[in-house]
Amino acid sequence: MVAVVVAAWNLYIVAAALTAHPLLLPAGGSDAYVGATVLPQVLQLEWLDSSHCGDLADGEACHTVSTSVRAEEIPLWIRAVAVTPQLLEAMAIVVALLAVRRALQYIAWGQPFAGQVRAGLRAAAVVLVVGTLVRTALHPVGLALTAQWWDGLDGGRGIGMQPIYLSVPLLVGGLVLGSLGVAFREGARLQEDVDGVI
Amino acid sequence: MSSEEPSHRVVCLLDKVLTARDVTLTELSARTGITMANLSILKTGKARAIRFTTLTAICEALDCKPADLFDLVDLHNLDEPTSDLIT
Repeated sequence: MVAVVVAAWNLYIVAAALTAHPLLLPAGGSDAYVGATVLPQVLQLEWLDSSHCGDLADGEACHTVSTSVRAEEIPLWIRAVAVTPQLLEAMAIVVALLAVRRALQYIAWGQPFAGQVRAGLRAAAVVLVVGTLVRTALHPVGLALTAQWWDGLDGGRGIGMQPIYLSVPLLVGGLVLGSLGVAFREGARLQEDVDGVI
Repeated sequence: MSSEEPSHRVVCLLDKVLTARDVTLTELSARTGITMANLSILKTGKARAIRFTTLTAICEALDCKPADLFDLVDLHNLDEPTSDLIT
């Protein structure tokens, strides 16, 4: 269930980032927009404006005005690269769930140690572990592109980025499924050993 | 080991003992509680191993000894047991 929620959330992030459509936000309104923080690498992207400070009298404090950057202000191709890890993670979760579902079918049919069960568990484990690691490796790519684009802009800016992302639950889930696959393999061997024993 | 060679030289003589005792497989199943399928596997020589509890049940039901139920054959002449059946 958690995996389904994570996959759905990842797909929501991908859709929101690519479309920058405010209707995808839980709270709407005429002024609603998708912020740059929809990208998983971005914690903060703001325009800082202190141009009005020149109009202030001597001794009067100047407060910088910050405006959040909208997702649509970031080039689409950068947004696409930035959310590719999310898409890959969602795909890995879906593939893993389908493999586990197939394994559960054979278990329900009274064939817990069938080859399809072991293959399903092994496939799910590999997909989850590799998918999580690939997702972690691709995260900095989007971060670098976004930061590079941001640095190339003029004007006052505020930036906060998340450099590392690792989905520990999915990684642990993959390792658990892999361990189950090993256990089922031994079970199949034991079943084969007792086959023909009267 | 090639696929043509058997993995062991033990043969089951249950069929002969049943004939000598005039007991059917069905009756033996009823006496011992062992399923017909398993007894058939044993009788046709397809069993890979037998539990001591199963062996005890069969011997008690047929009033025989384990040696009466099994024999060792010559690989070069699988139809000929190496000893006579003890009835």
